[in-house]
Amino acid sequence: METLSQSKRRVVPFTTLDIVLMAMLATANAVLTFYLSYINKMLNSLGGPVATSTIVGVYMVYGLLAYYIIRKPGTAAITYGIGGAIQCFVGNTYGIAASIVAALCYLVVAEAVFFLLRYKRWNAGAMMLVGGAMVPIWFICAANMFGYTSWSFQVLAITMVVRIVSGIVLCGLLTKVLGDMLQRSGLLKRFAIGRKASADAGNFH
Amino acid sequence: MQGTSIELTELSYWYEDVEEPALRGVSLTIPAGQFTAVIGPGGSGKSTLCQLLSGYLPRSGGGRREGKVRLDTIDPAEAPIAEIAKVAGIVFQDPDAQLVRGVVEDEAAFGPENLRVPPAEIDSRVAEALAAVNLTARRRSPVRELSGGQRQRTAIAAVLSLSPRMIVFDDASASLDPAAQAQFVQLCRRLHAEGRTVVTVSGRFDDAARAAERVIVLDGGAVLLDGAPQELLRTSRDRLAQLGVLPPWEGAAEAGGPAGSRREVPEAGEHAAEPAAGPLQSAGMLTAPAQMPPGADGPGGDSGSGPLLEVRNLSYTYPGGQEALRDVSFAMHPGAWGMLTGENGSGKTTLTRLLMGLLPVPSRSVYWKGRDVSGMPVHQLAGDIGYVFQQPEHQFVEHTVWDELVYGLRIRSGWRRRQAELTPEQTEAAEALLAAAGLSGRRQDSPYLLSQGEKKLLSVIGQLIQPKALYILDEPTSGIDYRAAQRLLKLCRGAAARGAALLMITHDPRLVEEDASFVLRLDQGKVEDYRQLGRNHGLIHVRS
Amino acid sequence: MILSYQGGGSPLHRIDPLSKLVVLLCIAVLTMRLHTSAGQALLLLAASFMARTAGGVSWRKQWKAMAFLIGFAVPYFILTLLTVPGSHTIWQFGMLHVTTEGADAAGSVTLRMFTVFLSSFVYMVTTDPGDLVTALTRRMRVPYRFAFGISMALTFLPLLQEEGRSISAAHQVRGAARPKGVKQRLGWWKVFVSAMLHNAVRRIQQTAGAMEAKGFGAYPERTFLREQQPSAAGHITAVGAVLITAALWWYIHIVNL
Ligand SMILES: Nc1ncnc2c1ncn2[C@@H]1O[C@H](COP(=O)(O)OP(=O)(O)OP(=O)(O)O)[C@@H](O)[C@H]1O
Ligand SMILES: Nc1ncnc2c1ncn2[C@@H]1O[C@H](COP(=O)(O)OP(=O)(O)OP(=O)(O)O)[C@@H](O)[C@H]1O
Ligand SMILES: [Mg+2]
Ligand SMILES: [Mg+2]
Repeated sequence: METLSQSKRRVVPFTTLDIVLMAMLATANAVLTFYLSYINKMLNSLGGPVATSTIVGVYMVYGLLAYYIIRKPGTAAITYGIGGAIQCFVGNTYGIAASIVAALCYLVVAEAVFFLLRYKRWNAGAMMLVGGAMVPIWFICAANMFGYTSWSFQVLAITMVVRIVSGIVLCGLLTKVLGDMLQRSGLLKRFAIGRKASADAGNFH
Repeated sequence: MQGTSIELTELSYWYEDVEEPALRGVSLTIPAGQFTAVIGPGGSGKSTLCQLLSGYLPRSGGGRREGKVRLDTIDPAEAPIAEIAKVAGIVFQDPDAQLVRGVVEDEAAFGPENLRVPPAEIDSRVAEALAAVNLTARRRSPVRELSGGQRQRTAIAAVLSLSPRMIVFDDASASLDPAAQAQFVQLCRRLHAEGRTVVTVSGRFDDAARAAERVIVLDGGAVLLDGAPQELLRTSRDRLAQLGVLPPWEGAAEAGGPAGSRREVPEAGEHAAEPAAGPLQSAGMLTAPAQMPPGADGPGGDSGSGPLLEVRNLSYTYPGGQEALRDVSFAMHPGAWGMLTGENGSGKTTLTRLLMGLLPVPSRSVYWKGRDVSGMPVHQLAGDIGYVFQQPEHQFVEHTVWDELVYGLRIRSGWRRRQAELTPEQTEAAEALLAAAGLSGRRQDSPYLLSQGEKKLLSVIGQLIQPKALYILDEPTSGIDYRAAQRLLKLCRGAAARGAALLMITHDPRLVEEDASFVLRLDQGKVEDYRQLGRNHGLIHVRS
Repeated sequence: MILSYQGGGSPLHRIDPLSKLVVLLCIAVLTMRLHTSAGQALLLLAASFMARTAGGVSWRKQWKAMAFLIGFAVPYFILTLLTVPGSHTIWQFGMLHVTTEGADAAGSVTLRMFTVFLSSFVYMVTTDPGDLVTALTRRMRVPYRFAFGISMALTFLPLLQEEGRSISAAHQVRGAARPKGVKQRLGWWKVFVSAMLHNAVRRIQQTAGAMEAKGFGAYPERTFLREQQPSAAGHITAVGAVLITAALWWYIHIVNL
């Protein structure tokens, strides 16, 4: 993980505070995944994997949110790394192997896109771009792991589109909204997001 | 060994967005190897000083520091982490805020692991540190399953294992039982004898301060007195009593006089707050359960009416298998004032949480006005019973001190009906309570930004403001200075005078016993002692 | 419960977490390789047998864990059964076709879910999270501050639950009843989530400060009190698993399982 961040132009070291924040977000994600599996179950019986695809974006929010708050190269690598690893100890219906592979797919894409954006764009468009871009690779892996490959091409295509839309809206846009909400409450003064916008930060308490 | 361990020059500190400094121009030199006690009333800046020593302020906590701080040769605001950790170990006031690993043993091993101590040595250090605080038996326990005092012990052990040259205890013995407090003083002596610099911090002129070589008294963020403890007690007893750092049986803490703390308020409000705490309850209201449950050697006597609260053979085991209570029986009548004591981990908090319905109550063991409370929703009991948590933060629900205080008044029924406006009398009562707690100037601040003692006071007045039939207070006097404790007791007396019953968990029996009508002492979850106390007949010896 | 590690002395408990992870991934690869229900069933049986003998997980516990999945598996089975194209119809009702190919595919994907879930469950039950952190820093050379994020996250997990309970207790103790109706519920959630967020951020800052005060991050590496020694058995198991998987990969092609 270190090499990833070192290869970037500026090496900004992660503080303990950054790491604890990432851990907290990964934890929140684990809890969320656990409880979402009930919603997932419901969706699954209503419309099968196409219906469950509508919420895949939510599973990716934590890493992107960490990036949005911390804004240092390598954030996604560590956050998704932690998130994937703790799935080894927190139950979900997809199993450990899938969780790890998913985390790897997300982290590679997120790091690549933010690298291309030179860590300078943090607007809604950029976040939605990353949210949507994280979907396809994992979908290809998932199709193989879960045997979606036996479906017809149309179904696969529809599922893919649904997932990408979910990634754009429920990951990209949601992250932006959540991050801005937190930033406005003044809770994140010590992170990059808080410093950048500290001018218009409302006072907390 | 270096000559000086701590050197402060004209040290001032401002919290973020606060105009008044929390410390103003403190200059001090503490030579290496000295055993020093820093004392001062609540809010005098003791914890701020500790956090400046650790570098947490201003490094992570923000704010503005002026003046110089030197620990050995380093400045904690700038030195690398490794340097600070080797020089100074600081036990902070709030255990929950410093425990990071979740398991007792890992907590103690965390520091030395970071400093690359070889595993074999870590093992022996952990064993030694846990033995020093009597936690060896709980080595593998998750921290969240520990009692308040056990958590504080864990926090101490986690710093002891670092084996720093200088060690600072910020009110680290506040929730310890009397035996453990004595043991804590022994521990300080031993660390001192080993040649380490020891600094204890507290709101009271306690045993640690008496054992120290030097006592520094802080008030309003500045050094007020500095000298050997015996000398200070001889020459400045009045000053100390005025500050409220001396116990009432030594220096008439009630003496009052010009307020010490800078945020002090006129005493006028205080009287409005309480109906004159006249003669305590009339005899008819006193204790004595109607029928004593078998096996409980309770206070004798009988009164006509049924008990307010009755506990019959209550046993409780936590889901993890830890037995916390066994066969506890007692009863409370209107106007009774119970004192609940016992060692750390003896089940006091568990008992009161059960009474409040915060843990699942077994059926046919707890009766409120004759009704089995098992399965009764908490908010329903809350109409009759006021509950103050051991950790004040657990009670906070609002963003400002004022809202926090009047939260209960605004609730009429259902979920937060905000429409309920305060009546002028309610507003006046709230103002008076705020003044009595010395928090008038803080009404717009967040409750979380108060000092530990101020938090405690706020959590207590937040309950006392509502008329209830019974108030349960979990260690209301721990971690606050004697004057604040006296004020708090005065408020309690006011409530008792209105006919309310009180059940108070405490490790300071001497503060309360004059008012208490019975004492219930737990030992490892069982009732060890349950008897009536005579009113106002002087001191009763409670085993320690 | 969310966290399910249980201490024990079974052979799987004694194998280091990374070697075990290799075995787990091998099983996952095999589930992807097998196309028929029969093959998947064999694999599930094998996994279950291993869980019983090597992991000491009783049949009952395995069954209870897998029962959690049934709500998922049944709809998935039916859906695949009805949508996968095939030529040998065995049952027909109006628009609905059931073909042998469909049945085989449905059985295969469903059994695969169980295998993946069971193997993950066994991993969770037999692996001490602390060991994974140590193994990652010691053997994978992951900087310990990052690997430690895992153990922090696991510490936070029960804390978050506790926090939720404590927030709701605070309101109730102050006399607030449980919310009723949509409007009150929404109001309650708003307050609850905001309290959770505030407490979480406060906890983050406190934890970071406390960790640094105890020297976290002082040096590029650190020691560990408890360290699971990588055992020869672990290496052998991992290598063995890879070899068996490779062999089966090739064999499956021949027998067309
Ligand atoms: N984070 C903060 N932001 C603003 N003000 C603060 C903060 N923490 C403490 N204060 C204020 O600074 C003053 C000194 O607080 P400090 O915690 O140092 O007191 P203390 O002497 O330790 O009191 P106690 O005995 O109650 O623990 C208090 O008035 C307190 O309300
Ligand atoms: N949530 C929990 N799960 C399991 N065991 C617990 C839990 N909370 C407390 N215990 C255990 O129950 C026993 C009694 O704890 P309790 O908090 O009632 O003690 P206490 O008398 O209030 O002590 P203190 O004076 O330290 O506050 C202790 O041994 C403690 O470890
Ligand atoms: Mg303090
Ligand atoms: Mg307690």
